[in-house]
Amino acid sequence: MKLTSLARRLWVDRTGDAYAGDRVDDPQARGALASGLLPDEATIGRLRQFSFKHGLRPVDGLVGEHRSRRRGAAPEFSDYSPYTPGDDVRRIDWNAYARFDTLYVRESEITTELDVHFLVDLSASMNWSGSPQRQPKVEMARRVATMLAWLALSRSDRVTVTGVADELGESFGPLQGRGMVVPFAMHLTDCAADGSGLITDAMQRYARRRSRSGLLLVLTDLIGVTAAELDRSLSTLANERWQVVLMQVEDPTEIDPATLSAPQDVFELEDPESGMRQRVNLHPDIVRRYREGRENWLYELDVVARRRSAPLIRVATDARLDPDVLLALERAHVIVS
Amino acid sequence: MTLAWMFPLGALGLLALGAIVVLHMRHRMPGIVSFPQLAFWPRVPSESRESPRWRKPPISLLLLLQLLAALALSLALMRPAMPDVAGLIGQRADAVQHVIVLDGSTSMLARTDDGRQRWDVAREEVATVLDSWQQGDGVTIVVASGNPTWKRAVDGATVDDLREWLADLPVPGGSPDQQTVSSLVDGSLLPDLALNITLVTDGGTTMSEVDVVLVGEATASGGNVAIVDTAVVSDGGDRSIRATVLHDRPATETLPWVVRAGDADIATGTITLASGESDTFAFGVPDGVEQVTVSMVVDDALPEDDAAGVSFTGDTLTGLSVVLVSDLPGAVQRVLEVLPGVQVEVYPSTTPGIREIAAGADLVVYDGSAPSPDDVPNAPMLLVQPSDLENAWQIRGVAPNPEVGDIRLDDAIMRDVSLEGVLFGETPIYVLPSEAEVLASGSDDVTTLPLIWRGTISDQPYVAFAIDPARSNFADRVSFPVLIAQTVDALVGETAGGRTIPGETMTFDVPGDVLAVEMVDPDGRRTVIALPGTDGGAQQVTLPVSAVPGQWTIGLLDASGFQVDSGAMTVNVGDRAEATLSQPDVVDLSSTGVGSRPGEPSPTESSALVEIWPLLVLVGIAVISLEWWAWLARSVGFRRAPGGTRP
Repeated sequence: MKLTSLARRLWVDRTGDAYAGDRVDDPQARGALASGLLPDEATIGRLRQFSFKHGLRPVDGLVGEHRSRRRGAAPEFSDYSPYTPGDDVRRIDWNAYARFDTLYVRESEITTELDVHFLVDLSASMNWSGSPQRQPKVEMARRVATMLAWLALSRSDRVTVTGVADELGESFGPLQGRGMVVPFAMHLTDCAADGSGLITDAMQRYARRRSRSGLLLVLTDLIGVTAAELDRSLSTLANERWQVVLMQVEDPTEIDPATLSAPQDVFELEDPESGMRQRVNLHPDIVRRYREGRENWLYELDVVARRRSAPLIRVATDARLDPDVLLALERAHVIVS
Repeated sequence: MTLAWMFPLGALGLLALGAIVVLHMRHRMPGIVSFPQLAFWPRVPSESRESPRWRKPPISLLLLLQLLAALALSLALMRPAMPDVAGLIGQRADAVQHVIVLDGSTSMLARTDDGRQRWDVAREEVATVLDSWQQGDGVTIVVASGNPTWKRAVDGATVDDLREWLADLPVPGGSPDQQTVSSLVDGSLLPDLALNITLVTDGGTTMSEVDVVLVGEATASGGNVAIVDTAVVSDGGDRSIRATVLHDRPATETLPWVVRAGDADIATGTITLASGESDTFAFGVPDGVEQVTVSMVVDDALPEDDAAGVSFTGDTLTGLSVVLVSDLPGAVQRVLEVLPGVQVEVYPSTTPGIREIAAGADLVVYDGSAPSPDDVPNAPMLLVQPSDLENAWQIRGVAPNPEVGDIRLDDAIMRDVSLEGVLFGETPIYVLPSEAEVLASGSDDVTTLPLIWRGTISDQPYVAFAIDPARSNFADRVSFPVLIAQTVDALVGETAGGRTIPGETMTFDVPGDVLAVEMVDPDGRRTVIALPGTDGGAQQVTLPVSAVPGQWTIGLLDASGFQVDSGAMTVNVGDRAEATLSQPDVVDLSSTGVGSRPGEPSPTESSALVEIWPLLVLVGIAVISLEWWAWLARSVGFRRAPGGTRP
């Protein structure tokens, strides 16, 4: 509890620059900072009501809490089925045979764990905020990932997290068990957002690297990603039987950049990833054209995601985990209560 | 409203305006803002990027505020000062001492074109200055006249008293006494107060480095006609009056005159005068007439001096007391006794102690004798063919029958006196000291001798005649009484005969038990002057005379308020200098350094101008603050996000 308070204080005290890929070497401070990513008590209380939607993808394993379509020997009774040759005679319910004069085999429900993969975009554009009062996008991505990791780990799912900077980074995990949420958060804290890799390429490479598919939660701002690239990537992952959930983190200033400067000022925009600059002003007509272009881009992304059955959830950096983010996840049927 | 610049070199600060404009014309590198999405931004028009170094002056709020701030500070550097900041801000910050020099000369009786008296207009101007009084100020009114007066106010109550005093104050009259006015102004100054001197005048007075408010035009109101002098002429048993008229009007006119005794006209006539000319007319006065009024029938700017009163009776109070020392009183005594209000006491030349006898006298006349050196009276003297007097004159022979030589006709004594054809007979040849002033001289074949001269004996003025009226025919001529009258006037002033002019003071002795003197002017205005009283002896009373023409009454009051004696005097306004409205003799009151205090700036600099540079500095600071705020508001969009604005 004390660590949480300290972390929150650190959170409030930090300025925008402090988010810029800083690394905290003090283990205690790192722990405090990592614990700052952890959801608070109220959010955890809400999370207990949810789990990732079961059946998204049949997976293996024995310790998970997700119901499986597989039936077999297990303590949990599920149903009777007529005996057929080859069934394990140990599962014949003799009482039922005495009563109905027919051999029935007891079917049991097998619970399985889910493979949950987090792919966090660590490009430099994620380390950006339109206002010192707001957290950078990567910080919001870390907090959302930590919250969903807690949800997965609390359900005994296997969690793996991988950062995407210039290249696909080393994966951390799989982790299992609720206690691994802190190492998960600390790992995310250690990941600096200063790369320039394309998330769609990383998604495909990640799928190819994994022998077993699972639920892939991608936290990114999708900047630089075209609809075609996204479509190609989602198609590849679908073929590999991956269930993909896209969480697009965006800053309110990206939505409405009118507050960047006075309308008559001419200034240069600099891409934090490429360093390219473009001279603009905030004349209302210019801003309108920017908005139109961005909305068209988002619309095209939505179309692709819908076609590939990949939920695309947008999370603003000034949104609250509970209820804003949880509600969006529930509406997208990523989590169910 | 005049704006003065105390440091004009500060105008160099205005160069900052140009510098600011040039700085704004420079193309600054645009601010750089980190923003992750460049794809959707359309490029701005290319003209904003042309001319990489200079551009047209941008009309922006920032530029305007900077120019305004620089302008305010530059103007403040020039130290502007305004004469009437109180009018702008409603209240002065510093207390001011208002010294109002109000011209109270006789000419202030004149009417302006709208028929109002200059004096009334001047008082309204003074009231305007009084209206600007505020708490902490001091106000002093100095009335510049022949007998200057003053009054001071330092708070609201005394300012109200000042207004009432001014409202009841008649025109004091006379010509301003320059020295007294100067000393009154200097003596009225209060320490630690800014000085503001205002002169309210009709143009007859002037002061340097003060605010001058002119009332009435000197040449307006159709000019003036005035009786500026009267003289009583006694020729044998006949009395006549000679009146001198000044014509200060643009064209030659024939003007009627009238002489009244009570309600009856006893003489009328006309007199023709050219512009600027003065002339006399004479008329006989019947026996038994004690007082006459000579009037010009004319409508002019200054009606108060159109008439003059002449009284043939004196009284013990206001009359002229003359001691005549003569063994054979003759023509001199007769002339003296017909002068208005003259009381003559005759003593033989052998009388010892003339000095004590003449202690209360206004004039001592020696006829055929001279005072002994140790018995010189303490009064002015007229000497007719005097004997030797040590250290004054000696007789060195006799001229058998000299002829008249040079005459100082410009002197008041010799005015209108003609000696042509006079047979002087044997005339002593007087050797005079160098300081004696000869007014008329004569000569025979071998020498030149003084006939009429004046000088001082034991600090007392005298006029001496070498002529013996008994031996010459001079006593039979009109010029003789004229000469005697004008000599008496010159020696004892206009108090003679209870006849006086405004602006003078009348001094006379009253018994010691008199504790108050009551003066009532012809308008019924009553003034009571308290006296300390003495045990048995006489006490001297000095009364101011204002420009209210006519018969004044004077009463002596004892301790119970009972009038123990009374007298009268006639005030004639006519005065040659004050009656000349077209070209008044300007009295410069500043020649003695009026209002200046050592080590201090001039009154105008110290009191009239209020520096307003602090106000401009405040404006500049306010504008700079506004500019700062505007800059902050403008830079909100450039706040430093991760990789935010870079110079």
